[in-house]
Amino acid sequence: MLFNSVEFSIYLPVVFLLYWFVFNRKVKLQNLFIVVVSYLFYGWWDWHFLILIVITSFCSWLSGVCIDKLRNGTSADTPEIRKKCKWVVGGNVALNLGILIFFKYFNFFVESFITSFSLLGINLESPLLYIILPVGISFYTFQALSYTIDVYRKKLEPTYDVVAFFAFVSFFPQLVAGPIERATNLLVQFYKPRNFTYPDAVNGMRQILWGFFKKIVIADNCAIVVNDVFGNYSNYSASTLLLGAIFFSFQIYGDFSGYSDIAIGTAKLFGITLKQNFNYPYFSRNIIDFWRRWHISLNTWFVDYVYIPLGGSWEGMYKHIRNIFIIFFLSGLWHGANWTFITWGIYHALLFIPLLLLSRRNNNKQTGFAKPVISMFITFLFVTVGWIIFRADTLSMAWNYISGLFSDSLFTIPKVSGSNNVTAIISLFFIFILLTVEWINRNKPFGLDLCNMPNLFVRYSFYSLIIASIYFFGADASNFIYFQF
Amino acid sequence: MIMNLSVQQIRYIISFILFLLAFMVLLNIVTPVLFKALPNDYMRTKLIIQTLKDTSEVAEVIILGNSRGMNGVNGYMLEKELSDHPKVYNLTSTGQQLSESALYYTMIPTEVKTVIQCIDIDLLSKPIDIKTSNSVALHMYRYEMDNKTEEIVPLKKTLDKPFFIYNYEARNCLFAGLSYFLRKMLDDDDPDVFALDLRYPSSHKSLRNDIIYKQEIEEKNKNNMFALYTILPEWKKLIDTSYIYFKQRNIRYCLLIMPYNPDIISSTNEEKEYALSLFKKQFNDIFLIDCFNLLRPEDFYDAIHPNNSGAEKITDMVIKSF
Repeated sequence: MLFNSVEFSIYLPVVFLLYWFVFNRKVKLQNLFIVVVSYLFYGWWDWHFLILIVITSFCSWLSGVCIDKLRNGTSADTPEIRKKCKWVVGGNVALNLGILIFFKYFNFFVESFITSFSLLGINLESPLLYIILPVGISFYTFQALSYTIDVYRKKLEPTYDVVAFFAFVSFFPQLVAGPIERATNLLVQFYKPRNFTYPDAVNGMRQILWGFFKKIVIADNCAIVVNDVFGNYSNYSASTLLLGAIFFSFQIYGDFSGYSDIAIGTAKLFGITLKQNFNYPYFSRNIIDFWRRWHISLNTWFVDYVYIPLGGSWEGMYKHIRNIFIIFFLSGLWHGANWTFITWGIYHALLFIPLLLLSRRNNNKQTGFAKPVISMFITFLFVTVGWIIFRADTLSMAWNYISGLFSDSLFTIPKVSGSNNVTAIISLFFIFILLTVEWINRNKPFGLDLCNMPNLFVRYSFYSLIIASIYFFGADASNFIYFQF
Repeated sequence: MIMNLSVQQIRYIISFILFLLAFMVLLNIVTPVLFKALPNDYMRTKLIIQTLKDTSEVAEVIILGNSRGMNGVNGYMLEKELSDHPKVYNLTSTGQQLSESALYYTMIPTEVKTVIQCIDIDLLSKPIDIKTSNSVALHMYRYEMDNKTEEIVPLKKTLDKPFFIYNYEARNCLFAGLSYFLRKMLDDDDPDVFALDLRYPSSHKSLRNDIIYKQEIEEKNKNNMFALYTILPEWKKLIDTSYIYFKQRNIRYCLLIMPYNPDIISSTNEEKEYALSLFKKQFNDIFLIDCFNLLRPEDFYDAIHPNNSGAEKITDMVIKSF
């Protein structure tokens, strides 16, 4: 089910009312209700793949129970117990990653294998399978894995409450596109009774509204221009290619952060607090800063479960650089089975490492107006070049697109085809609105956080303008980009 | 699991929900007002309805069809070249397929001598329908279907939606209005001509838009529109009934077979010829003007729309046929 669909506009109020007024007597009952409605939410797309969520949830829960049983409820363990626990956690990680790899990467690995052999002059037959990628598989797999690893590391008490655990893995607002939650934050909320508080509910509604604005007005309108430019890049001038790339930067931001805002806001309506996933990434002053603000839940996941176990930055410069390369490589691979995503990851690693070596971790201390704005602009341009690689179908297309940017026509007026010019102008206007609102609220958790705006009339005028923009200028409902990951 | 709300907070929530509902209703009510007040690509629907209702200015020749007919038949040239120089109205409009044109048939005054219906023969293998945007325009400009039309076109149910659904579907009217003004400022083509001209509503000043041409040809070549070509019985019935209806009113009903771009190579020549011959065979009683193979690629502005030179050839063919 899409957030921007008629079905969801019926589903949400019905689920909300049942959650607070019918299933509110016992925590277990409420959790069970969450599991059922989350499965309904997911099954609306394709119920067959619910089996994968059930397998992932059950095996991860069982591995936690097994680790606890092996430790016999104590934290002191012998090398033998540690070894057995390692086998349990390793088995669960292997199973979950196995499912993920099969559904997401099987054909990619087979194709890459065949291509590399063909370079050596050996032609192999291609046993490619027709595999449908289950929506959100990377998100819930990583979420479930974090639980097992945290239990193994003794950061978290294992749960015997299977319903709470299933609710944690499948909680519908963030099931298909994150934020990727940790059991230490989300699972524990399913143990306790939830409270519906007025400020949370109001803020949740505002965040949902802002998310819809970003998705329907910004992302979906930008998508029209982006699809045109990327689909016909060889026919367009350099200035138009640049415009297309900039629009994609805003499309992916509006799409993904819009989804996160709707997810976080919806969770608030159910008395659940999710992590912030975006912190105004296009106001970053360098690439390191960007990665602290973009898809925070995935990046912190890689830091906690890959970068730190590999030694982080404590084992010398060489290993530090290696570890950064590994997490960016994996981050690229996580996005999809295509060399464009991997190259995008490596591109960011290459931008990241020099700054790290120069110890420019934080230039947020820059004062004045011009310097920070110039830094933001330069960072944005580098990020935008990365998005070209990300958006391209193939590496050669990315190369041709980027090469196309370097020509005299960069200084001409950009022009796309037909009525898309008008869409581009209207999108630019709304991008300006987005940036202005987010700049004003850049120290708050989301763009439309109007907590400190006391004037009711101004607040309601603001809501009205946003709703009217969505109504009159929203493009046709489309899927969220990150569903495919 | 408790809702910790004070009475005042409950009041705020109820007020907010009421505000939201009232605001949505207001937006829905305002939409048709804006739709009618602002220019848009479907203004021709209003022009067509007004022109057909206006009995003081009646044309002898009326042309109906979609944007291919808008760009493909030059009413000025017809008026000039046809003997007796009859008054010609080109009442084609964007997305006006045969099913929509047929909605206007009973509105055509009896003084009209000839109705030229532009037709894309590939359409007849798809079910009868009308585009949402076109049905919205018909609703907004107060089109009313009479009993005879109900008999000719099986679209009564499609056009009978509740008013608030039409209002909702028309919500991009502000976008369309802005788009219209911006196009007037930015584009070479004048949207006013496209919306208001009664003879030749073609706004393209150039002969070819290369970028769009390439894109559209690539797109068209992905689908074979003449594979397993058939004419659905509902279309056959619609055309036959229309023919009989006009014959009873002593109006000549001509079907103008619109040209096919030779650069679209997704269908084989055999498939195309089979479709054309089947069409001709099915409607051999009707006066057909065959322009199917008339144009060359350079006669097209984009993949499907004829340019001025293409229009000249098609119009010339109409004149010769008459």
